[in-house]
Amino acid sequence: MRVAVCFLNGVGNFIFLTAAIKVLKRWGYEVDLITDEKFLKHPALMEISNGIFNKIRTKYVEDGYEKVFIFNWSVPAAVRRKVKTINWQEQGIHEVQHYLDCIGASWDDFDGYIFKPDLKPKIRKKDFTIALANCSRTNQAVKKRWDKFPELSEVLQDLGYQVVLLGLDGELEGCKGIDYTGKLTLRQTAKVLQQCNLLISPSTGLSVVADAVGTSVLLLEGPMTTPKSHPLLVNYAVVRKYVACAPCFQKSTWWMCKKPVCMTRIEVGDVIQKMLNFIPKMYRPRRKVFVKKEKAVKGRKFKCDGKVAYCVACFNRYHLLKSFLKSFKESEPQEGHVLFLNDGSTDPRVKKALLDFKVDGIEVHYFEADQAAQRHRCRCPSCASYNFLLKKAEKIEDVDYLAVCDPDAIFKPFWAQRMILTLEYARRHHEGVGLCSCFNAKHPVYDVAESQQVFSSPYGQYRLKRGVNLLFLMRKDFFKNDFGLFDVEENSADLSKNAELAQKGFWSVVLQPSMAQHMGAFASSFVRLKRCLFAEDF
Amino acid sequence: MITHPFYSKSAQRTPPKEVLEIKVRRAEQPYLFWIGKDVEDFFNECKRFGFVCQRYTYGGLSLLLHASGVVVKDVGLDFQKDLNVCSFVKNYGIPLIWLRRFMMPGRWQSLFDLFCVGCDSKDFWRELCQICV
Repeated sequence: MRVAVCFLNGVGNFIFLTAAIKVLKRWGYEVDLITDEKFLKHPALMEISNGIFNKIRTKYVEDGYEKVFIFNWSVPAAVRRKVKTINWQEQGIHEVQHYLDCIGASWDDFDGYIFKPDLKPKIRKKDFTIALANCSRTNQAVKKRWDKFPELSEVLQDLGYQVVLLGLDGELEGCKGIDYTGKLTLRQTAKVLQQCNLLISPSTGLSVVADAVGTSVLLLEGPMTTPKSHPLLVNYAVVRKYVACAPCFQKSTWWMCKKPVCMTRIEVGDVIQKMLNFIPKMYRPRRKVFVKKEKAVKGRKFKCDGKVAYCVACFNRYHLLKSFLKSFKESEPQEGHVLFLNDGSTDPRVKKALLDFKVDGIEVHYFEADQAAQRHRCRCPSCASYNFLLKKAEKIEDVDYLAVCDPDAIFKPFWAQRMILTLEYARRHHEGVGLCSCFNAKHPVYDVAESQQVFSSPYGQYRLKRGVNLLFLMRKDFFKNDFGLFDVEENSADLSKNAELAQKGFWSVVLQPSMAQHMGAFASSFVRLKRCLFAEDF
Repeated sequence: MITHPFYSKSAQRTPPKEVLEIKVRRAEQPYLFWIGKDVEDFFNECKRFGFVCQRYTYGGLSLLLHASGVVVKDVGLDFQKDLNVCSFVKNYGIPLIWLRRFMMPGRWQSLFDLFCVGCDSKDFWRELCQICV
């Protein structure tokens, strides 16, 4: 049994068509393609059609075909009267449905597409890989393309994701990432896409290829109609701005449109927000460096007297410790001493990093504990470790302030100076102020529920709360009254201390915006507070 | 005379300036829109699962942009009005749920993300919660 199909269109449409051809083949038909010469010159289309059809003709020849299906989207009116053609303007119907209708099949017959990716190239995969694709070559592309891909690629790389650029030459100019644009054939591109976790693109041929190879898609939609061409086999999401005339594809407004506002209004933040739904918890961003605020603060000096003893207890998590040490060094901390306690880390790199650490004006003390963290069955240093360090720090004579720092925090410049100055300012103006805490003002657990007021000081804004947050600084005289030590030493959490200090009537100062970010806690609290993701206080 | 508990007696002459009042933040509950025939007690059941369910009264399509999901119950999509709504919702990637005991939506099947015959089973609510986050 032989049938012929007439078709001429783009890559995406052709892959959708293969769904109908697959059904025909399953029914036992041999399929020929009737197309025109443009098709034969299109390398990508020829690549896909290879192996699907018996013959490819550019003219209709009577060759004993049982049926001839016309899958063309535009058919001369004379033909339209005689032959059943596709009414593509019908609302809410998917393109695959049109093709299935044509051959007399239903959705139950749909069984994917005929499309095989190449065997090469293989990319070196690192965590979560995101592919970007744009469109440029067709007439539609002017209205469909999105111009903020360079910005997006930069943000994605900042967040630590691997970015792969796909498509034709020059489509993603100015973008950062592994650049495959213009270097691969369509099937090779499909192989790369198959190895990626997500494709971000407007509605183009590659978004359909991603559907065929099983990669999730984030569609940037403007003029295109999603019900007609959305992916059928993979997860997808849509980023679309509400513009009254959109979607307008091939309506009168489409032809009149000179400035596609529906695409230009889509911002990088909108894309990132939707993208996060695709990313497994373990790959979600854990750090956000204070890029903008750092620039604003640079150049201002917060001069203050007094020496600080920074207490840092570490247990493995080298990747976080590395960022901590780097940001601590770059934040120009107040001079004094830093006391490291290696709390039984099994990772040898931790010890090496701590011993190699040097900062001008700060003396380094290194201690080792014998598997203390493991003894308490904690993944992080216990309160006993901090008590040990605080007692050691108290014995250093020239120290005025004691600070407890988490080994997974990153700091803003001059954070220590601002904490000291704000603490002293608050002590002059409020009663019962004992400590100063420098972060997590927006954390769901450590939120400042008691105080809804924000106070301004010459050194920044602050709030007051009962108890204390994780990272804090206190005067030595406050510590001498034994208020500084943790009571429950087996516990790794500081909540018991919070309650205890609150009972004693102490207030702690919370800087706003906070001066540090807590990378380790970020992933764990993500589910509870998605919106904190880009809140810089976190 | 300031009597605020934060201010110490010595500092009452020059208290720090209060900058702003912080509004209490509340998590937004996901909105579900309902199109078609009523089902007894569905709206109350929605509350149990943390949804705010609201009947869509064809007041304006842009209202649907705030929805986390749209449930379509016993509706014939041959009517242009309902099809318009479903197409609009699909254009914005909002999940559409088809609820009908016997019939499938036919040619418009690809518009919908979830097909259910009834809304009284645990499976329905489990899948609804997964889709409409």
